[in-house]
Amino acid sequence: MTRRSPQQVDPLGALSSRPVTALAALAAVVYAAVSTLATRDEITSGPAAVGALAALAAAGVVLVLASSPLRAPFSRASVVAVALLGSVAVVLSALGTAGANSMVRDDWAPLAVGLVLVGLAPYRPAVDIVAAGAVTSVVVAAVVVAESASFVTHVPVLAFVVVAVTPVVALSLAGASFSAAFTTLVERWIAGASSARQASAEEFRSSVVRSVQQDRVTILNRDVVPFFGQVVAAGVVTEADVERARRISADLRGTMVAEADRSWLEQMLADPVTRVSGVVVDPDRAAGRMTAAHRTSLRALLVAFGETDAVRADTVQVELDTQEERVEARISVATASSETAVRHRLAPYFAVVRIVFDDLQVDPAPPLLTLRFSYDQH
Amino acid sequence: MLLGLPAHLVPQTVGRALSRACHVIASVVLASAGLLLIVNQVVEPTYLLWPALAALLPMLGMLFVVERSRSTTAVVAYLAIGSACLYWYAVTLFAQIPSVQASDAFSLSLPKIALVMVGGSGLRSRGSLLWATAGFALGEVVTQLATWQTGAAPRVDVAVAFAWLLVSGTVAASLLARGRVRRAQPSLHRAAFDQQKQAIRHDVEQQAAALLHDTVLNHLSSIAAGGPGRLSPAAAASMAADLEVLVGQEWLSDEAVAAGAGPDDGGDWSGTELGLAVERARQGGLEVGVTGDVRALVGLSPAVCRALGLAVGQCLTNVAVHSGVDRAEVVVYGDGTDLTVMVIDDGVGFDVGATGPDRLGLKNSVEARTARVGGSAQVWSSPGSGTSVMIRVPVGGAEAVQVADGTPLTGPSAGAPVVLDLPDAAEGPERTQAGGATS
Repeated sequence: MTRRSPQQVDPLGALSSRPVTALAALAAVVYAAVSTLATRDEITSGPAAVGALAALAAAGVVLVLASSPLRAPFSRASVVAVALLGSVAVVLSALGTAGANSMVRDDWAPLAVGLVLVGLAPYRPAVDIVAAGAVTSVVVAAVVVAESASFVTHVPVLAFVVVAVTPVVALSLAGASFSAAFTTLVERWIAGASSARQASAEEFRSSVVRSVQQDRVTILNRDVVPFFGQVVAAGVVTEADVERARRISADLRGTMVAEADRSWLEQMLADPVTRVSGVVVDPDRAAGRMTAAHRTSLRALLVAFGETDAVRADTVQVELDTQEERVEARISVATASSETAVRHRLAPYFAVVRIVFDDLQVDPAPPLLTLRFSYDQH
Repeated sequence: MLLGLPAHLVPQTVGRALSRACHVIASVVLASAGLLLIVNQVVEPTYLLWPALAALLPMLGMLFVVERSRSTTAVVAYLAIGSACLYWYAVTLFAQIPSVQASDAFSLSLPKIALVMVGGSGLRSRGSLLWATAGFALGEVVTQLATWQTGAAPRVDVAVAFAWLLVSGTVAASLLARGRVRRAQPSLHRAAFDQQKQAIRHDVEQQAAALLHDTVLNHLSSIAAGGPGRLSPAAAASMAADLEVLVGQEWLSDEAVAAGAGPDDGGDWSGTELGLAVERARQGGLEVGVTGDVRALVGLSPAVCRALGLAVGQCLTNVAVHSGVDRAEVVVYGDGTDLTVMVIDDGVGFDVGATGPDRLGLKNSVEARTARVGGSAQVWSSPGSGTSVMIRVPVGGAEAVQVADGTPLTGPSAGAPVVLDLPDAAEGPERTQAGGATS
């Protein structure tokens, strides 16, 4: 069973499944409310029945809020909260009809809680959903055993347990298998695509090798070749030659050091193709310690700066500050439109950066859009 | 590093995951139906329930076939066989269990839900809706038939209707949910690709810089350091030869895969790149003492051997140009997994923390080059107390060092350095790993 979640392997996919999540939460609450009304004759404790609906609604609210792109990634704590609130709803709904519940099959709690659990599928790894389903199933089973005295049908208690637990087990396992299947499929696609790209990267490499060599040969032909030719032909080094050797040497070193020292961020902001430019303050060369996923998400965000008119892409400032174990990053750019417009245009990129870096804070208040996040020094 | 699926693959991927989820629901409800039958049978041995249990098995089997093949034929077969089984199951239950007397009994809903759940199997979303509806309709028709035949009470089955709503709602929502945010997906893939290309270019430029340094810049340094006077024939020949290679040949091949001269099996290391580097330094007038386990060079792969030789050559050039002494020690020792080479001189030394930007020699020619084959380099020096450079490379072939994707150029063996009792350590030299040095 895979340990990664659909949200991690396909951040934008998780973002676009949010309406489905909201729908699942809403459906659960509406179903519970309608069922409660339909079986209102059985209610023996009004407050408990209302409390059960409130707990279920709270579970739905946690689900919807935690799946927000502004709060990504969906945390395990939120899963625990959903499972706990769901279990509370199960217990309270049983208390609401204590002693008067005639049938298991018209109880809303197992199905409604199952619906909320299935809503976790796009955001959490399968194991989490299975665990949440298992906990809730145990609670449902215990509640049914306690209630069984009041049931009118004369069948063994185990039969009641099976009836009550089936919706929770079926829906949580369905959510878990969606999560596992989707993650596996995406990971498999990424592995395949990466190896295909590796092949095209080799081709690209040989073309880069040719162009870089051509570049260097041009530089050599301009200064070094005539100089060496002259010195070798003369067989003697003059005072002027020494001076010239120093100058050429300084020139070459200057360009080569600049190239070898520039980090990927500096190179990217210097590249005219990206239409984004600015300053990188990175005294400890911390940019090199970002992982490939960090770089990809950040690059996509910076390129997006250059493609929207919501920010002024030539004012980017990146500061990387090395703390003990972590690198604190701060990116700012001047805004050119309202806070809402900035948020709206760049929302998918924020979501991806947030999932990759885990602790992104976005402050889009004009005149500056500021992003703060951190990462391990590795 | 790729993040996420391209838009054109989303429908089929989500479709397959949804189909898996639906089949899991179908399996659970069938298992649950089976369990209820067994419980009833155990409690009431007079019931004749095994025919109903037997009817569930072909459904489970067909479900497995559908999950495997995902073809229209399999789905149609599942619906046909499933309907027949459901009929048989319903008739058995109506006839045998007194408490099951209506068409919406829980035990009856379970296999009907399993029929609806085939809806997830459609390859396209519209197909899914069609199959789910067909499963729903067939299930109801068959149960009503059994109800009518056995004289039970026909009722609307809310649970099955709910299952149908769940499947079609999810499928419809996944159809509608595409679009807006997915527009950002191509940018993510382009970013991943650009990142990779940039890393490749940077890597190649670094290699070019290292090679230029080994050749042209070294000659320029010797001319500048030597001052006016006659050019030695050896230096002139070396300059001419290097220029000819740089301007006239394909010199920038991939160092990490280029097959260089490896040591032969007899343990004669003088023909290796390291041996040639020592030989060149000696020709240039430097006295080089080589001690230690030179036979350990035998285990190196050609690429590592070449990188090591070029790196040591650069260290020896540094000694010749900057140290002010004309003697260097090269010490080789191996422990089976790593090979370590120390280049030690007793010259003027330098402040490793305070060297200027001109630290290409150690940075590119030694550190970056060693890192490219999965090794590491470390420098100890302080003014007045000489310089020691320690280069460590893996024995038995370079680990694949992933540079193309932008991950750091450090290999697995570039971990903590071996702490050595250095001759100049007593005088409190500064120590750096991947820090500055002379060039």
